[in-house]
Amino acid sequence: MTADLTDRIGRAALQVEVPWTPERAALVLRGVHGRRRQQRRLRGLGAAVGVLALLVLGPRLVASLRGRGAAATTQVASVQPAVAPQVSGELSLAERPVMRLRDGSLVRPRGRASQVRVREDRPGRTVVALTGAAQFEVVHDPLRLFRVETRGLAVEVLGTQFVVEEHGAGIRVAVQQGRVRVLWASHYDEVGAGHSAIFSPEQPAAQPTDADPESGPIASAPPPLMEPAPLSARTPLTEPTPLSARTPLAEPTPLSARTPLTEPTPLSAPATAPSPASSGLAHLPPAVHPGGRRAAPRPPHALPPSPTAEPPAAEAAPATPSPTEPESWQALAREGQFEQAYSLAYGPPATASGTHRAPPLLREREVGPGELLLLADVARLSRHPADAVAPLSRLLREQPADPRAPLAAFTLGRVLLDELGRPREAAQSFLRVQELDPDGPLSQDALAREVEAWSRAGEGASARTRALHYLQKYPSGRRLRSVRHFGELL
Amino acid sequence: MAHAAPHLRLIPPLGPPAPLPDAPAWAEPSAERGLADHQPPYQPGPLTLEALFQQHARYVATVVLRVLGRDHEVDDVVQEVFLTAMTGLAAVRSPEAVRGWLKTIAVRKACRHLRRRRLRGFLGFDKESPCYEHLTAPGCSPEESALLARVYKELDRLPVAERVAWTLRYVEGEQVEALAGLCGCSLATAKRRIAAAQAKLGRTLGHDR
Repeated sequence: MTADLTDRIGRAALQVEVPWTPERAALVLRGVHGRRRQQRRLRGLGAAVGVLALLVLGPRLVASLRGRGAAATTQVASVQPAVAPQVSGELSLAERPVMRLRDGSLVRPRGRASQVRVREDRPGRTVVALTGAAQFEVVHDPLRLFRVETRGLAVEVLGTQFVVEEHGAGIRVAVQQGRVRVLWASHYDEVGAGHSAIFSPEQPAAQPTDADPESGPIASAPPPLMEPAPLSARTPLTEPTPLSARTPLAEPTPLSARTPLTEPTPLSAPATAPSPASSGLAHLPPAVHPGGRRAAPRPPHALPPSPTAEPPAAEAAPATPSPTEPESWQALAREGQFEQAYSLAYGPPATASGTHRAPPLLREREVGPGELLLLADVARLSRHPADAVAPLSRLLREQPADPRAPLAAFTLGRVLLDELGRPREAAQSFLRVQELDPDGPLSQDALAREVEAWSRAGEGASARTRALHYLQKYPSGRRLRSVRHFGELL
Repeated sequence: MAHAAPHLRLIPPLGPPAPLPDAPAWAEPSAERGLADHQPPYQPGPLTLEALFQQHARYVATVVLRVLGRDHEVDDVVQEVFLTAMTGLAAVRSPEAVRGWLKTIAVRKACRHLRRRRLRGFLGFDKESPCYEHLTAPGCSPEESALLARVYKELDRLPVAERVAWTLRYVEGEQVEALAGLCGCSLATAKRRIAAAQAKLGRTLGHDR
């Protein structure tokens, strides 16, 4: 194009002119005003919709972000509401109603007379009132207390699958996966995976029985205690783990080192024929047995009178000096009053946030693994996660052979990863879980969380390596999606 | 043509190097061309929508018409320009800068309108055949009207960015530096767009001499 042509175009463009009359200008101006009004209306409408959405969805969003319910609620098993409570007898698997809680946990009442009521009386605390028998599959959530209460006995869940049922005068707790803590009167005990125990809430003792997560009919009289069911029938909703793999019995810690007072009940010993040791337990705090149950620290004055039993050697042993202080914080912890328990166990809150504190009692006396775990729970659930590191680390350092050590390592990993933002150390903790119990119930989750921790630490190569290990070890594992995501195997 | 720095050379995409023609001889301060007679005198006072509209609506409409080439699309764009201007009016400190500011808004709104028009055409919703012969004032010669109509028809085939750059340069008579500011691009990009449009138009309009 030549300069002459562009010059001609420019001269012609001079003649381009809008026929801009006053009428047209007024019309356009009116249009501007109309659009402004429309914009304002739309903005007001959008703001109203936004506020409305915030009001409606905000509480739910906050609740879901905190992983807790918005308000206290009561849920009743409703899938099969026509369960006649006056009719006794065992429901078949197909007949059992299933109650799914908000967090995905499942409750299956097992007997026709069984009644289950679930309430969240405050955020982070789910309490199940149980009459009869029920099977529980609880989603692990360290910030939530899941508690089953029945006839003066409470079972606190540490993320597991278990059955609670009335068993004559006692209450039988059978754990299929994970671990539960059983509390009654001023005592507590823990039951590990693959083990069951019968507790009598009126007496501070448990009759230890060995493994049978899901035995046969419970309503026939006299109720049979042990009737091993096929493994495939025990865990219908999750991958069944071989019993031998679930129970950390292969290499138990020498019991004499942990509980010199009682003898462990052999795994093969029938529960209906209690050993002398177990009968002697009737007046004792429940003792550690190979399944991971332990005696709760308990002051001598709390022991009920037991005329038939000999004075327990425990009272003479200096293993657990029990001033009144430990029981008070433990009692508060059992009641779910973690803030008060924290104040008693750890002292007044630190002024500097984020500092680690070890509770004074760790320096004053020897503390057992169960107490260390409880200390860590108190710190975590009272929203002082940094203070949970000391008791958990001490448990892992001093009691690595304890069957609860993998649980401690897993909890430590979660605290470090989720609460404290220290993914590299968390990955080491999750790795420790697998070293302590390679085929244990926590191993798969620990490996998956390790992948996540390496990924968050920016160690993409390590995350990928561990993710490949997970795929190799658990080709149809339940955390495949997460592992693929964090291991960047998509 | 505005002279580029000595170390820079414009390289057209096709054919032998063809230097851009110089700015047209008529290219006085472009924004005022053809508007001086209709320009209401500046009246200091609070910048309200009505005052702004009264002072600058004709100018904005003319700029928009020169970019778009279609009179019936001008009103919508002018409304959008003043709506946008209202939101930023409080930030204006110098009344002398309002006109340039409005022109920038107008050019960008016109660009957006052209893109929408192109999309509508691509989707088959813009089936009108524009009549560019009535674009000029009644006093214009038939040859000039025909030339301008031919130019706008060819401009319709160009990419929007190149079209707007060329229009601002040779129809609106903007300097390249100001044009780059109006288009929101760098000086080099503005020159490249003008050269590209010039080359394409030259292939079709070059025989009109």
